[in-house]
Amino acid sequence: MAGEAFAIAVERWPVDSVPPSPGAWLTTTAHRKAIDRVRREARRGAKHMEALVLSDTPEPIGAIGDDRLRLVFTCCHPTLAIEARVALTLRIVGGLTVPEIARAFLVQEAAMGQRITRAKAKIKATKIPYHVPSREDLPIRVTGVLAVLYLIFNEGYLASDPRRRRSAAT
Amino acid sequence: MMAQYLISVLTDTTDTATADEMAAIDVFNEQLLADGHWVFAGGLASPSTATVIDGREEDAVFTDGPYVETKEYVAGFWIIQAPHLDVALRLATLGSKHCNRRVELRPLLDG
Repeated sequence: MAGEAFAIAVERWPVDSVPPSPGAWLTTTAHRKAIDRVRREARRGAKHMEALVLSDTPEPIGAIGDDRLRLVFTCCHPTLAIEARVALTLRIVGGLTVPEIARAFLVQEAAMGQRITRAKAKIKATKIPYHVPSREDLPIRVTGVLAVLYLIFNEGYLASDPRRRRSAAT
Repeated sequence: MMAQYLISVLTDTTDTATADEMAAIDVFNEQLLADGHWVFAGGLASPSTATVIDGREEDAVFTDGPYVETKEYVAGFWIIQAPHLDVALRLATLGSKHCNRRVELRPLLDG
């Protein structure tokens, strides 16, 4: 399942190193999911997806791969500033707490909380859709996701630096 | 259910659209109409033709000129309707290409 693949990637890429073609992996995965999209979205309404993003304590989404992939594309939307995308992805998809993300960015917790709140408000106000992008938008949208992944893995937010290491409980 | 968006055309020169740009804008407008995205559009006279009106007190106050002097200003606009932001983004990108200017995309508040 695509979402499971992403979850595994988030855990394993810092250890195994990023695969040679992360873009190809993401595109292939997203294409497959895009074909299934119509059927799946009938099951998961927009309201449910909005609740997942807007709630402060996202429900565990590990078991539902399609939702996770859609959330990745939503959190990495190109109309959000790159810092907002990274923070939102770590919070919504990665499940990190605001204090953990603030520590990783070396910013104040209140500032990080505001950054995430504003990003969620923009998603709602501008009606950023909760779906895997259409075929024509996919290349540029995958680029946007890769930019976020690059920052997450290369800037050391999940690095081996013990000061920034996520708690073992996650 | 369609949402409405304002696409403002930004410019920092007094140059009006060239003939080629006007032709391209016409093509874009016709596509907007055909696809059901058109709500309204227009070109704006230069900021020097603007007047600021304060009618809050008993005596209205008129001030010659735009409300703020800026290097970059709005030269025209489209109001479009689209189901969600990804469609609006695609249309705004096309609009920017066709009028050969930067644009600002902004959602209208729900009526």
